[in-house]
This record gives sequence, C-alpha cells and structure tokens, in this order.
Amino acid sequence: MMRTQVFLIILGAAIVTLIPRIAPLVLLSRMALPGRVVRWLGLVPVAVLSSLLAQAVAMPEGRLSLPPENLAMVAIIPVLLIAVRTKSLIMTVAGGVAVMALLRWVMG
Amino acid sequence: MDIMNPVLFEAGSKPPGRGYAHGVRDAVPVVMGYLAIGLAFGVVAKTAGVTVIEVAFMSLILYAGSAQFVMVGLIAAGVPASAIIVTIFLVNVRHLLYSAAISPHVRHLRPWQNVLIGSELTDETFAVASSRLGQGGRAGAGWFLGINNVSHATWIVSTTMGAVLGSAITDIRTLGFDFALAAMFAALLILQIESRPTWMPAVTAAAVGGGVVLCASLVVPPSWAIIAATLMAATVGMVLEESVA
Repeated sequence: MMRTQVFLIILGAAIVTLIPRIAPLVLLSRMALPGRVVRWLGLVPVAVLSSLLAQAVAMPEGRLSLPPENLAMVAIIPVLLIAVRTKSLIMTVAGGVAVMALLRWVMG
Repeated sequence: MDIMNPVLFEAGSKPPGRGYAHGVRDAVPVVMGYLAIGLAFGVVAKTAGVTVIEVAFMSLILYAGSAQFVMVGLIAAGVPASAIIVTIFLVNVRHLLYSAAISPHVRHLRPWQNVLIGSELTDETFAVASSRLGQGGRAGAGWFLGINNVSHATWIVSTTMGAVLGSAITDIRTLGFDFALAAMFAALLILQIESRPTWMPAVTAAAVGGGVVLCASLVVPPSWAIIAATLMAATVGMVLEESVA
C-alpha cells in the first residue's frame, strides 16, 4: 500500500536529487574545462574519500563516539595496514568485515 | 596517449575493465556494504511506519542511503511534504561534486549515456568508479552501468527484504558487514593516494578532509560537512601538488 502523500514526497525528493546527480555530468562533459579545474576535480576523490572515511569511522551512528562504544575506530587500524600492504580492495573489505566480527565477538 | 585511436588507447589503458561484467565485479564491495545497510534501513523504515511498497519505491527512484534514513524520520514525525523535499535536496546536493568529478572521464560518451550514469551516482559508486578511473582514464559506458546497476539492484532488494522481515533480522551487525563500506573507503583512499604523482600533497589533503569533516559535523549536517571538507581538501591538495611540481 502506498499513501498518496508519501508517493508525492518520494517523487519530489527523487526529482530534486536527480538534478545534482546528472546536471554537472552532462553539462561539464560538453565543455572544455581549464587545466586547473580538471586538476582540482582530480583531487575530489581523495577529498571525498577522506571525508566519508572519517565520518564512517568517527561517527558510525551519526554522532562522534569513542571506543569501547565505537569499535570502528579500533578496527580501522588493522584495516589501513591491510590496505597499505595488499593494495587490494577485496582483501581490505574482507579483512575489515572479519576484524569487526572478531572485535564484536571478543567484546561480547 | 593517442586518443584518436580507440584501439590503441584501449590496449594501452589500465583498468577500468571494458564491459558490463567488469563493472559488476568492481562493485562487489559496494554490494556487501549495501546488503548490510539496506537491511538495516528496511527494518528502521518499517518500524517508523513506512510500508514495504513505499520502501521499495523509495529505493527505486530516490536511491540515496542517508537521505532515505532522513526521509523516514521526517515522514514519521509528520513534517510537511515541501519541507521534506527541501531537506532531501540539501542532503543530496553533494552529488554535484561527484558528478562534476566524473565529467572529464565521460566526454566521449553520448549525453543519454551520461544521464543514465549520473542518475545512479552515490557516495559508494562514485568512490569505486573514480578510483578505478585514476587520472584521465576513460570510462566505458557498459562498465559504469555495471557498477551502478548491480549496486542499485542490491539496494532495492536489501531494503525491501529488511522491510518485509522487519525485526526478525535484528542482529546482522554481529557479522561485521556494516563495516564493509568503511573498509572500502579506507582501501580506495590508499589506492587514490598511491595513484598521485607524489603522495605528500594527497596525504595532506586527506588529513585536511578528515579533520574538516569532523569539525564541520559538529555545526552543520553531515552531508554539508562533506561538501565543506571536499572543497577545502581538494584545494589544499591542488595547491600543494602545484608547488611540488
């Protein structure tokens, strides 16, 4: 069952979300961009990833928290070591899941 | 590199893999993370009184994790529709940056292909795709859609399953899958830093990004903190790279 009001909310939200997702991709890929802008855009992934990682590790429940409540802050240490050593995305993700499961088991 | 000769370029370019199947394979870490978070979202949404069909429809056409959590909270609180839509726009406006950063990699594609690619852009699919593309790599349309489609399909299925099963699946957390995306961001960040000409500016930019996002999260919503941190970190990184070069 779908309520009309909720249907309209979801539809409206989806439309206003599509604009920032699509507009730069379609418009900027048609334009010649200055070299400096392209270089700046090339650094956006590093900038975004460090922000997303910091939020995922320091505020996993949406607010800042520390160990022992926040186990992500402990698990990230071996995970970063695995990433640097293996340079493998899959190994790091599998290792991270295993480390977190182990930590939860140990902490009861 | 000879961009006018696609065969030469393809043979000489590193991954991204060319086709749809490669994209699906590259999305495996995203799939693991979305399974865990999607199930959790479905449970939360159901508990907040959102129906299974509404959850499925939301995941189909809105497809944005943090925005969906915010939305069910606002719906449950009885906030007016217009206020919810404005809030969701503010939560999702950070996609401008992802979309802009992908644009140099898709110049050779048709506009309708770029519309399809952009419509399924998320934090996680952007992270995977931009890391695979590196500097100046050209994205295959099939490859990008492979990443996007399997991630989106996982999100629709896992959120709907969560809403159907409800509290019957309370503790998926014990398995550690909720940490998959954090581990993925860590691995992609390391790979991104390695791909830069020199690592010092990128490491500094990452430190700025992490520091700014946490400080900013104390005063603005988390998604705005990402925008502030990204603008500052990318600028610091670029200035440092220019001064090193």
